[in-house]
Amino acid sequence: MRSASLLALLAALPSLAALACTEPPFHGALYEPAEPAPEIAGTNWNGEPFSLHALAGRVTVVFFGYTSCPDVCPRTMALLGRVKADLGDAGDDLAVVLVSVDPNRDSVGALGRYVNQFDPDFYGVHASLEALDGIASAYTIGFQIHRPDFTGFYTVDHPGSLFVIDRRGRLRLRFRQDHGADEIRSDLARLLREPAQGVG
Amino acid sequence: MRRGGLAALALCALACAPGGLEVRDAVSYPAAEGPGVVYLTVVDGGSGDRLLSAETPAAGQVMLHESVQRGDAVEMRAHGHGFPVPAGGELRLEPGGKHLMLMDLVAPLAAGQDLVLTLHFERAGDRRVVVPVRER
Repeated sequence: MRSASLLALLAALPSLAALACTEPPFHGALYEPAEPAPEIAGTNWNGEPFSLHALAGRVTVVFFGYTSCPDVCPRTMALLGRVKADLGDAGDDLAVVLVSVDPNRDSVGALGRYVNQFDPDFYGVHASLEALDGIASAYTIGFQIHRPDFTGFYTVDHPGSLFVIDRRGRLRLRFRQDHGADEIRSDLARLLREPAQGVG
Repeated sequence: MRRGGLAALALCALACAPGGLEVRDAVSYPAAEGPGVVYLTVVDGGSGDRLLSAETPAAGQVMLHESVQRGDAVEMRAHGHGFPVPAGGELRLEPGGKHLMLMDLVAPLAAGQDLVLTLHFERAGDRRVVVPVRER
């Protein structure tokens, strides 16, 4: 009896060891299976062409917002700035991309002034409305530019999510607005530990 | 008994007087060319009020707005009729919710600067608040 229990325990050891080595689930929602992230192409705030695919090898966070948004957008950008700083040297391999969903107001210059408030290494991408429609469809997100009020001011509905692309260019995680800096930093740190090239 | 009653009356005269409002925790953050934002809390010690509008020399216009999350979409709603201040309660303008949007900034807002903001209430009239601009 005793030897049978011992044998059963020995037989279970590999799976116990595997359990011990398994990392806890990500805080963000996981894309399974992880597929190549759809391309986002436009112009970066410094006037240079931008291609998401050209960032392969780094972990990339994409946020769809606009510079005339005073509340959620700057809060999100500032949060990402803090997360990147807290990651230390590992943060050098983190790319943060703001894609403007308000291309008529957000000129390349305006995006530059905006992005530089948070981190000059962040990308601020201007794309045409036609290109944005394609990007929104590929990422299954929506944005809506409202009609201007009598002063000419208008608001834009935009996704609150952050999209995370791993070093291999695969769409891996999606964070909601209520994910905190600690959760986001923990997930990004984990993705930054992954190799740029891997099996599978 | 009578003294207690008088004390209660005196207390109520202070706290329950119409316009017994207190504005707390006002803060703004740096903005390059706008819009800027102000968050604050209004504590009502009376029978309720309404924040109708606001103005500051630092901006051409101050709008009362609210960020609303619907599914994954973040919408911004204008509150042209103001924000109600519940009787004996609090009106909270805070990140991700109601806020004051500073349009047409006269100059970029920098950390360390103070804004002078005038809040127009339906019953309490005008309240001037000094709003520090802090690093995010």
